[in-house]
Amino acid sequence: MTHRRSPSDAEFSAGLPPELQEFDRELSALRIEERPSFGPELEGELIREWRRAPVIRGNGSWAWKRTLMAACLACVMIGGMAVPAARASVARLVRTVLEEAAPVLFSPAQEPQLPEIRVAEPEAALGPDVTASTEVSAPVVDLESETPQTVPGDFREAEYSYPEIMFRQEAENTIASFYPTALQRAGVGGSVKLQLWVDASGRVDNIQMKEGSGYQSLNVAAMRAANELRFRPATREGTPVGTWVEFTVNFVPANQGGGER
Amino acid sequence: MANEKVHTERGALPLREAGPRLPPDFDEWFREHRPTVYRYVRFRLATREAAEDVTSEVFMKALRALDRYDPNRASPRTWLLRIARNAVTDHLRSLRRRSSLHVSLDRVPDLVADVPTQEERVLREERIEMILNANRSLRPADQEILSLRYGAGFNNQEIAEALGISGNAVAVRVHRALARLKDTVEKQRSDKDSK
Repeated sequence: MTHRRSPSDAEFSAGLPPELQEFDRELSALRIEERPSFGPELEGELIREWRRAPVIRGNGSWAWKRTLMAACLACVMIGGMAVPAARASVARLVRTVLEEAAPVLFSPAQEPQLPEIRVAEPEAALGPDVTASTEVSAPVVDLESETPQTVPGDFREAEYSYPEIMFRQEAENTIASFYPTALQRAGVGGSVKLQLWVDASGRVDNIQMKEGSGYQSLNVAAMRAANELRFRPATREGTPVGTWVEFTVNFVPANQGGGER
Repeated sequence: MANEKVHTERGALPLREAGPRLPPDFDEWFREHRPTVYRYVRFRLATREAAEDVTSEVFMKALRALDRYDPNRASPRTWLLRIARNAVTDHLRSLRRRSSLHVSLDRVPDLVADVPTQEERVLREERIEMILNANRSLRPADQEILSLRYGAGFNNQEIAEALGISGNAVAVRVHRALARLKDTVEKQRSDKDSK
């Protein structure tokens, strides 16, 4: 996603002092990436909004059409009141309505029953079924997966299955192979919380670090290892779909009680 | 549905035949300008979640106000950016009212520099975080102009159109805002180093 610059803009950049030119270049190279599913999700919301609100689908004439209709109705009523026979009918109607309504309105015995309101139990947290952690020989690499990012609207309502990690043992071995040997020897471990976009084929297509371990090498190792993982993809009504999964990799050095969490 | 039409300033346009979709013009704008709007909003707000909320709000507002869009007054991109600027201002105002302007900036995974490897991406995050932190500590006018330039990727002429000022005024303001941003970043770095 590169920025388009006009010649005059290039001239502007060239006219900056050298130290600002460098800063300008650095900022221009900055890329801001959308979450891959953000666009489709928002498009879905917009389509729902468009379908839900027919008033915005007109040419704006709806508002004045409604005003015109209300004005016509008011004219008819006022006109009707001017005719004595109509006025008498309206008065009779009003009287009848008031007489019938009064006991209903003021009798406590006939208080309208309020509908029972039940608060639904919150839905269980959405989460892929990859929470188990098997013990492996030292060094221990602990896989945890947590709640994926909130899935909006219809996505929740549809029949949905979550990504599951495939070949768990192999995955643990893979991650262990990325654990930097020097850190293992030094007894340095840590947790790296990642957010993975698991695409419809089950491959990890995007990796974002949510919380680092405090060690750059461990963070990088976790991200590289996550790139190798394979998942059984999420499905929506039987069709594989991409989704975000939060995934924590715990690197536990061998000398810290291998196999324990 | 197949015969349904949407009325815009450009006349009546048929909706797509395959079910209820967005109006064609809007659909095109959404695809073409959503990344620009998102980048602008993200540059000004501290978290991706907030940026997504505000971007959604921008397009919802635009959809509802579609019939009021006048192509003679502004391009779709400028119009959307105007809505975005107002939405960001409202959002920041509401945060201030709730006294929760401070947002943790310990992760900015969606903001990356053009670097080839993931290791370098990780290394650059801290720097980017520092720059964005510094941007948010500038005056609103400076934040605005820098976000339009480096977030939305507008050139000076486009910024001039969006802000309704001259190109020369934009150049002067960008220059000054950039210098202030650099000073702030350097101050933050020296503060961090001295700790």
